[in-house]
Amino acid sequence: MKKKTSWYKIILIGILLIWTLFPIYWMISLSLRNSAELRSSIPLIPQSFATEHFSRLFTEKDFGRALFNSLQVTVISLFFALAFGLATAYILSRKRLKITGGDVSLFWILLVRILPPIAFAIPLYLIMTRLNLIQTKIPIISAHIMINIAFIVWFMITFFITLPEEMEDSARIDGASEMQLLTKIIFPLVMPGVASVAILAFMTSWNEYLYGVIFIQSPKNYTIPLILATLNSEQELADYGLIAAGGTISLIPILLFVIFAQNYLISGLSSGAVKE
Amino acid sequence: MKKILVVTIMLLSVILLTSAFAPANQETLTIAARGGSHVDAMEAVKGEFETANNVKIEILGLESADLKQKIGLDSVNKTGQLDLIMIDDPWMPEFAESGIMANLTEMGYVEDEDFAAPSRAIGKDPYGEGDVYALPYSGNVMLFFYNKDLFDSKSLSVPTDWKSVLDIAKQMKSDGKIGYVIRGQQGNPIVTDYLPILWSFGGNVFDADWNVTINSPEAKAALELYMELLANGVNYEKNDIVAAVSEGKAAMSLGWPSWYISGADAKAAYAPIPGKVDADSELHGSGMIGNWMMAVTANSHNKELALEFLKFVTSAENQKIEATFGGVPTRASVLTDPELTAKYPYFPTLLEATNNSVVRPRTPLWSNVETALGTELSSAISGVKTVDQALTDAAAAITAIMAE
Repeated sequence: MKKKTSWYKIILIGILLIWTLFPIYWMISLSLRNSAELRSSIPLIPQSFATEHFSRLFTEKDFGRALFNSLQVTVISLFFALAFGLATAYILSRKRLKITGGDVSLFWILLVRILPPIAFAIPLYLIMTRLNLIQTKIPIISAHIMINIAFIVWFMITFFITLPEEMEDSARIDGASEMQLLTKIIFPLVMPGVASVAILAFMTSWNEYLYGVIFIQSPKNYTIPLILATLNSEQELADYGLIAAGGTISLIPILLFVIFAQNYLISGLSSGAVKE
Repeated sequence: MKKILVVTIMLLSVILLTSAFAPANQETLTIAARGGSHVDAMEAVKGEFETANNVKIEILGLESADLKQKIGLDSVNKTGQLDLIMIDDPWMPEFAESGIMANLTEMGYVEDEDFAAPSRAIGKDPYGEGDVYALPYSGNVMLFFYNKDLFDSKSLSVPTDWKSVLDIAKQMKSDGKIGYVIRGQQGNPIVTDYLPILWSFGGNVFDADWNVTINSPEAKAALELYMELLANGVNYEKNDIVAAVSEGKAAMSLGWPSWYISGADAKAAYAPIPGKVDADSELHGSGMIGNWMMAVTANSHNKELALEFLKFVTSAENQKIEATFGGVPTRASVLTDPELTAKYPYFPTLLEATNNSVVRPRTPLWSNVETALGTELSSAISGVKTVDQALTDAAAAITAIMAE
């Protein structure tokens, strides 16, 4: 028998949908209106269509370079954060740390997420300046690695713990090396977790602002959030069209990455060594 | 296919990694600036200096709070990354006390009297009389904006006192229009919107001996008038203020020229801010000055070259060029230049308003004072506190800040 959906659930879901999706609709619709329409009270439905804000972003604001910088910082930091974060999570989950205090180190790692980012930004800034690296992108990349490693370790450790150790033992008996064990047995099973954490880490890095402001020392190295912040100036009126166009473009890489990563979200369901 | 993919990924990785880790190696002067038209204006003229001095000028455009934070962080380095910095004028006492700026007088800079005198005074430490630490880069002073069509339809003349402003606001309201738009958001917006009225009433936040006077009868009368203006108007943020006044939905507001005037076009008519309570009362200075200054950092690796660029970018010749890219001149000769005033008719009004302007209190603690005052003013206009209570609490909070 088909279950009847009550009307209040439909209204609630409708409100939640509008609440969630309206800001995205508003951003995209603002980006596609001409400047004249953005000057006064802005109607809900666009009355004009223009791509001028998108072209101005690239011709006047060097947005292409910012897009490349954001991509560069995000991809490099994600690669290292995943490599170190997954390895750390696996080791800690199996309590294979040779030195004592594995649990303490887990809380130590979490500190990076508990403390406000500015608490790390100032010491990191001083270290990078002393090392004469402040003119490069190393400080911002390493800051992104730092914040994402902590997140990846805490997210992934539960995935590794739920995997039965007997499975690894049997693979070892069959002659699998440690690397084979990881790549052929463990990772395929935790792939949904890796895909989820990669998506979240990608978004964290892509939208990160504070470390960008502190560590970036050249307009050539500006990332997208930095460019967008300068478009709303106390000195002048906010350029809604440019800000909305920048926000719309910055959504695209995240969407592409989510589409790419979501294939792996379901892959773990069909692969695996044990069925319970 | 798989091999091609692997090779492509490896090549891309090499490109990404090498460009990420490669430092710049040409002689460079780095400027931390307020993002927006200031950066566009500087970018427009820097090429000539780069060629003549074989140096690269890099301009970091930043949001205001981030700019201040970045300057503060860089100042702890023995040799800073920043060579020149833009400074909002209320920051000057704080930066001077922290030793962030190089003493330009000691470096041989000779004061240039072509800069408007109130702008020059801001760049000195102590204020108005000490050595020069910063030069006025961008001229800015608050003006009174009104919708000319609405005024003409009622045959109204531009008010020169606040009682007339209130009368006009009431008249407009009775005609279904918004009489006056305040900018009553907490913090800097409401404080900058209220202070010109306070000054017109003869009040101030401090007296000459730095006693807190924000709970004086003048301050209370000014806040009561401000709330009456709100009762005959609305409380908007800057974009909506400009839209309302320029489209004739609202009659009047205060504002910075750069909101209403871009290039040669003014979205509303403008005049100096009224400086009297009513027609018979004493005239006070009421136009808030809000110059953006520029200074050489004390820890710059090349102070002499940075000073040369500072003189270059604030020269009369370059201010004329920068004006066409959104820059606002600070030199009297440029603000009265016939060629420019034909194109930007508001320049002489700006110079007049600058010469009669008032500066915000010169204390290194102004940011904290502004936050405390803004919170209490906001409580008053939202009805959370009475005028008396809000200003008494503001006085207590500011006294505590100054005692720190």
